[in-house]
Amino acid sequence: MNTYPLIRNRWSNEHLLAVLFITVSLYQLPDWVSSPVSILHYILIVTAALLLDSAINYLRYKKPVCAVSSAVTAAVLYPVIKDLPGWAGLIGIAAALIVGKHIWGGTGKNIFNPAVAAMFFLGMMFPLRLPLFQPSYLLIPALLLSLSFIIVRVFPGIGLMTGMLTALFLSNSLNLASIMAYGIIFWSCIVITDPATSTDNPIAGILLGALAGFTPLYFKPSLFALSTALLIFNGISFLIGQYSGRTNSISLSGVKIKSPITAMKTDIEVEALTEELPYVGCSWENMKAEYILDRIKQNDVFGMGGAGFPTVSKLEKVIESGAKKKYLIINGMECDPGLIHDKWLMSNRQAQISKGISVLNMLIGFNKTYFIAKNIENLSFSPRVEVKQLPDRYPYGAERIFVKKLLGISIPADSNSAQYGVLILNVQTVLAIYEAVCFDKKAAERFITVADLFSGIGHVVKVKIGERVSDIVERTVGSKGMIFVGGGIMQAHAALEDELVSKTTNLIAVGTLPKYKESHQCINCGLCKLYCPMGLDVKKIAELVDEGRLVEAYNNNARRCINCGTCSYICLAGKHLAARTAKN
Amino acid sequence: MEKVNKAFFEGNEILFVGYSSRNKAFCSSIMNAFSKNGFKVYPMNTKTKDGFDVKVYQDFTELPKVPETAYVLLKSGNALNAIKPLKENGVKRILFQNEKIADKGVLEQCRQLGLETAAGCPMMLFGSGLHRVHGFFAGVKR
Repeated sequence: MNTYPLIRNRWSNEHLLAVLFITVSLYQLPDWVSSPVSILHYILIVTAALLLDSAINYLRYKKPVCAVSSAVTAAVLYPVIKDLPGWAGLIGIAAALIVGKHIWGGTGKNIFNPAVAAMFFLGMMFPLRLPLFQPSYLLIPALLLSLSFIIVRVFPGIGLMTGMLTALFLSNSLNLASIMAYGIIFWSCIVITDPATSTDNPIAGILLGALAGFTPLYFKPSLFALSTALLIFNGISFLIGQYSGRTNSISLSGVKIKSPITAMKTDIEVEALTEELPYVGCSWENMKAEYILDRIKQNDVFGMGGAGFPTVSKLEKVIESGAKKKYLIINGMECDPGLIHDKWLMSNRQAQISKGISVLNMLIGFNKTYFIAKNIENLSFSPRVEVKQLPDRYPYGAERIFVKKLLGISIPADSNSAQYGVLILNVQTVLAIYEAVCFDKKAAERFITVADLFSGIGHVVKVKIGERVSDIVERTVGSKGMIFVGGGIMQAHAALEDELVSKTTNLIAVGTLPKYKESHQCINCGLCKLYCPMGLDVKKIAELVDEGRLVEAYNNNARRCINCGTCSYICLAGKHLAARTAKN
Repeated sequence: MEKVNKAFFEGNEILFVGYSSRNKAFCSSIMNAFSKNGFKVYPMNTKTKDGFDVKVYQDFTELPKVPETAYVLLKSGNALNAIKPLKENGVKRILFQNEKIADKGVLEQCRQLGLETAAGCPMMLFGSGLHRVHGFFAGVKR
């Protein structure tokens, strides 16, 4: 069964477009103040756009679909059509929505910005001139709010702004009034940043944006010329998009995700549902490497970070790797926002983990040992262990991510770190190694997090492998809801009727199914690509999977997906993108 | 046929007939509403079991147990075909999503088979926000 994040980004396309609509509407503030009746005209135009878009959407999707994007289109087009006859305004709206958007397949699938397409169309019918706005201090709220939207497509925005400012400078008319009148911020923060029609390629964005801004404003300052330049920019952006997506880079941005466990810091508690063995002395210093390896093998120590693979095979691979330098990395990141048990272990079993690290160094003479965690305040190990703090962002705890960050080694999708002489072990695995070597204890139990997502209370629970998940929930969680299990809150699935705790279980949670609204209206915001730790063009892969073109999706590096669930978490259209890439 | 009400749900298990991937968001909401109110839900879709975020059962033999209460979210024609197998497998009462599904033919068959029936969106009973308002105007007592 597919895994998925149990929590979702609260922002959606509709939220973003609603804020954008308010921002663009504020450009009409000077008119509304001087002539309040113009508000009615504005409302009529926006309503016409909403009705037309809703009707077309209903015909296309056979159900009501939010049409807020058409309100934005109408608001962007309004400064152009407000002085034209009413019928011309309606033609402009129809041209924007039908020719500019729906003919291409609807929101997000259009090649050209709908409002700009309508401006081009109207520009052929009427002599539309620049400047577009009357300079006024009442424009300041709109300008300030608009600036924040440059982040959507920062490079084309900066490019266009630079181009337009340069044109004004060379024309000897660079001043605040001109900047307002020519709508420099309007075009560069609102219009060209439309994610569906603008490239996210930095160099192309800056260069083409600058050209699109400079050329019309300097040589022929008319709206027709500017809309033509922007349409050419849109067309080239589309072509660039067709040839992007194949990347081998690892993105290290990560996402800051708020933990749903609010009682983590103050009410953390361990509920030992199995008996805890007392710790006694252990003379591991005198043990031979073969003996240590044998103890780890005999006691079935496995990767407790979520992989569940036998640790001994990892150790053997590192020993046999032939790498000149060997590294040991103890992973205490626990970057999944729904887990708390590793933090608890680092606070309460630090001495045992430290001894486990020493045992591993006895076994393999590592050149360097790192201990990585989000919070290193209370961590204290022997001087040979270098404690490193990594950002509290998801999925920084994924092996390939921090190996690249820490050692600069890129591990291909079909390889593992052990082959490169890098041994990565989760803190709990190190604890299990210590217990296996020093106390001959079988790795038949493990610490997990049991979370009540309704109340936000997290429990650290020691369970037996093979125990019934529903029994554990019954003994720990009071709330009623669906039961989920998995490697973390970002990689969980609904528990089956008789689901048992397995070697890969890190989390048991009681909550509700995440709401994936699977909107048809992806605006091509690019967040899935931006935050994919493997740098995949997730949208492209998802579209190929939806169309059944699995081979092409595979060729777009879908196999490199680490199934972290970040794309499903972040998607503003509420699409379960990780499920699509997982199909590969 | 009575309106959806809490007394209609005996036991704490429900068979959800017609859990659809095409209408995933709505089905998830219903599933969540039932689960939050302490019901164990067994989603069922006889056509497919792929593309879901939960385990969806394809036939009665696959089900670990058949609950006595079923919630039916099917078109009227499909609902008619589903009634007999439901009765044969031990279902005693059926909640239909709306009265459009539970048309005369459907209700008549339920009556002949001795099945208790009710109609109404479970969200009106177990949901929150606008669903409560909907329930209020539909005369659903919570």
